[in-house]
Amino acid sequence: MGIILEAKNLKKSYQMGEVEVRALRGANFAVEEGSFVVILGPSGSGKSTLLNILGGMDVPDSGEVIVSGQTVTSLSDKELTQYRRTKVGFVFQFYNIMASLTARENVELATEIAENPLDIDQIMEAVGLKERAEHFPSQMSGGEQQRVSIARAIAKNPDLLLCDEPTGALDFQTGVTILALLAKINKDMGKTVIVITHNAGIADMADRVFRMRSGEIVEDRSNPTPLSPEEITW
Amino acid sequence: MDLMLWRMIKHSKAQFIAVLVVIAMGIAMFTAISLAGFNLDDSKDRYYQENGFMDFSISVDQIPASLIDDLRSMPGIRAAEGRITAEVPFIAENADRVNVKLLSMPSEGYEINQLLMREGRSIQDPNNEAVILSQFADGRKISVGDDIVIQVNGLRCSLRVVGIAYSPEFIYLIESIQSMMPAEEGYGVVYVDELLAMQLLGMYGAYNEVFFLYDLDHQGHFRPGLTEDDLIDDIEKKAEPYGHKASVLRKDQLSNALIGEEINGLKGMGVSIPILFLLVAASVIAMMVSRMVKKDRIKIGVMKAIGYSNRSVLGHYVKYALTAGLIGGMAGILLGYQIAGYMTTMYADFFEIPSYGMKIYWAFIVGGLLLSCIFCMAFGAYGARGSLRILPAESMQSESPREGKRIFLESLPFLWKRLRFSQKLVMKNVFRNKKRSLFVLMGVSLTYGTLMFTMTMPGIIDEMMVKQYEEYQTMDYNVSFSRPLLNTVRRDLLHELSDPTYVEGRIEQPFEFSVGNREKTVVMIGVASDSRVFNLRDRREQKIVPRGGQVLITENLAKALDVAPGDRLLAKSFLAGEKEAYLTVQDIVKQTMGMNAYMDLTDMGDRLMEHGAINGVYINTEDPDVVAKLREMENVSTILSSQDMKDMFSEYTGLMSIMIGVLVMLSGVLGFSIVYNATIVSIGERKMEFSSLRVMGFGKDEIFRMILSENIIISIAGIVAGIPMGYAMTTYFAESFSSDLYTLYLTPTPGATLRSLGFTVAFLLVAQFATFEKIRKLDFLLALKNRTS
Repeated sequence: MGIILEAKNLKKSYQMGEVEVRALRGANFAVEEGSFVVILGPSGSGKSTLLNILGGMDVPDSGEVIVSGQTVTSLSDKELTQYRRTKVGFVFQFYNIMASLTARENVELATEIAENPLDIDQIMEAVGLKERAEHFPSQMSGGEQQRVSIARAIAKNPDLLLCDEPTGALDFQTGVTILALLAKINKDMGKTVIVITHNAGIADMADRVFRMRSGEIVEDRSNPTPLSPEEITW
Repeated sequence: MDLMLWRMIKHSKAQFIAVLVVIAMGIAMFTAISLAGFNLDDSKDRYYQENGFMDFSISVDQIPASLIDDLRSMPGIRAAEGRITAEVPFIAENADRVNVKLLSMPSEGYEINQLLMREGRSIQDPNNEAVILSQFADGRKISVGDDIVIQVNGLRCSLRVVGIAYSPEFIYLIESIQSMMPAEEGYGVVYVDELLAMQLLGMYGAYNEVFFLYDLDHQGHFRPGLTEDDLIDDIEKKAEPYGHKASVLRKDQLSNALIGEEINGLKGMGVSIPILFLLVAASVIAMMVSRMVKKDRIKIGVMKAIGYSNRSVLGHYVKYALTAGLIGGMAGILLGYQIAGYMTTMYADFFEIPSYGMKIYWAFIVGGLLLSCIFCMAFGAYGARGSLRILPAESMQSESPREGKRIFLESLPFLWKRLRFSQKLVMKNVFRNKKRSLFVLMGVSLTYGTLMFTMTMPGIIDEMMVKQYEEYQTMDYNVSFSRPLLNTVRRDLLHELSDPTYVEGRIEQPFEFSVGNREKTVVMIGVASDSRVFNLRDRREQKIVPRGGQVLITENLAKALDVAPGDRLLAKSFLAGEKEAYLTVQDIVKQTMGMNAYMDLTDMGDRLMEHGAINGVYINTEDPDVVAKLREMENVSTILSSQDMKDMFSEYTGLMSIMIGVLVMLSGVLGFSIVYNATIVSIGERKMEFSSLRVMGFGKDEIFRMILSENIIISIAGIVAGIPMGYAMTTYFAESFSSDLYTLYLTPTPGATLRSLGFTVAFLLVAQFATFEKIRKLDFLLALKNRTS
């Protein structure tokens, strides 16, 4: 399998009041197409900054991100919008779905702007929300809301699925079902999934694990025998 | 807490300033208009008191000087003075002629309607000296020492101007109520010594007007057992044998009534418009505070966890609103005080009331500030009430999603299915926050309604002048005779004036109309049955002519007497011999200026005057020398030209356009403030939603378009709702400004409706594009990290 994403010497600093925070100090790594990657690190290690740059939501001070042969870091604001629209899907810790829209409408929102969207009904079925499609977020559990968020992310049919602490707001059991859904998407749909988390237990289900500390990738290991989500624990 | 308050203000400075501007404008208007109105009223009252402005007056044919002493000794009368008055031509150096009122001045001291000398001195030589009224002197550029010429009974009389004066009796100087607007050069007042007036007018030892000052106690009441009505009855009885023509109370005196209308209109505006502004500002504050409370959910939870009470938390947000009220209020008062100074001077100059300086009414200053603070605090507390419900423990947890609901459009599948998804999204957003959508809708309606009413204002001129002089009355000249003549006099006039000339006889005579205990004195007009100059119209704008034994009355007279078609009223003449007749109200007619009654000319002569009599004519002519020829004629006393009056109104349109400009600007400020603030609050509340959309791949322009579409839908609804509001405001304005003197018929025209639409859309677009910057600067990463945004 080829390389879908390559990060070269990424550096990023930002001001926090009067203090300069060096979030990334030269991160280098590459991700293979169709793999399930976990970026592991404690709070403040720079993993969210890294994910934001990979997703075209932020730009590095220096270094490059190349996705499917396209240098993301040299794109204009408009091109970055287009990149987010077509290439990447995001899943957040706090779901960030629209309270005024039903589950189905939240997904439809994403398909509206996508160039090659997936069928909404199939997605709803895939994420296990076929019966709850017409419900509003206020009528759903946290796990269901996160499923809506995942469905919305994959509906655009992106190459990459970037997940920022997707189980952070959920209990263990619900967290496992969400991870299982992500694994299913990775396997059945062939999407490259990158999960960032501080939860070391999740790393056991990844094909590849990058460990971050103080803005640097301090460990890069492949996992030849990933566990199924049901087998992992934390 | 105060530090937090300061930072809160700093953080929301653009919105805070927008609110301050609205509050300051509201309070400035309240202070300026109220202070100007009350100062003007004060100046007028002081002027009246210091110069002994009449309490009551009567007009008679001739009353002997000896009877004045008798009238003066009546209980309840402090002073009574006779005067000779006559309308005479003034002949300018270029042979131009206008009418002036020639008035006698007692040789010795006098108490009533004293003149206030602006320049020069009083009359010393009774034979050829005159004092002229300030407005006329300015209009005609006459200075002390100049000679002027008047014509009395066909004789020219040269007078030396020795003084220029103001008079409380002629603050608002107009020739008659039909003139409406003062024209300084077109009509004047000339005072001559009493002896000279008697000599010129052949009224030796007699007067034709008597003025009275009442003998009142400190509270302005008559002594017990005496009433004004009884006193007037007694005076009228005594005056009857001398040809009592009319009685005028101070409140009905033309100049006083007109200036009173102006001041009352000003005072009325001083309350209604500022309240509107304060309501808008306070609503915006409520919205902003409510948004802050939502945003500060964790902060409020922490404060409560530390031990701050509900009251202190609520107080924190109320203080924010109070700060806006205080700063805006103070800025408004300072600005208003400045404007009040200019306004008072402008009005005082316009009316030629002596300036007594600007009196500070602390009640308005404190009241303005209190008003501003109370409004802001009340609405601030309303907006912050959500803080009371926040529990410390809950606030630390992530907020559960707001309850989602289907909107009513979704229950109309034939419509809903036709919408594209993005359109559905916009519709859902419009209905999602009903309160805010309603607020914007009302703001737009208010803006559109105010603009519609503003744009209709030029219609006042159209209505009053065009309708009166081009539709209802089409005569070029209205000529009054000094005494009743036979209708055959028309032939003489036709002979004198070159063709084509049309002359129509008429009677215009004051009558007292009464129904039960309601009475009103108005001029009744006898109109020829085949009149070519009067187009009387009923309320459905259908042409109508007076029938024998019946009377047509104007709407304001019908209202004053509370009568309807078919009712009977008693018409009593003031002429010597006092004729009276019961007349049936035939119908109610439309008229923009004055309060009148109309009868058939022949019938009116027969019943109330003498057979075949007329006391004036209406003339339509192309004779260029008509005025000069008429002035030379015997028995012609006054000549009113329709064209002069139309020209006067054209000048008035300049002033009107300034007023319209100000109102348009105010409407714009309101519209801008509402839409801008509501959109900013909406963006603030939906930061996370927009951030999610940006992350998903929506562009800034797409999000802006979404907000724009939402506001367009609300604005369209607002404009639709604004149409009846505009009509209602216009009707309210027309009704509240209609009086005995004029009746306004204002209906927004399609042109006014379109112009207001243009302005409303422009104001809304400016407000909308001002919010684009907020979208452009939206930090979506920060918003996504902050789960409470």
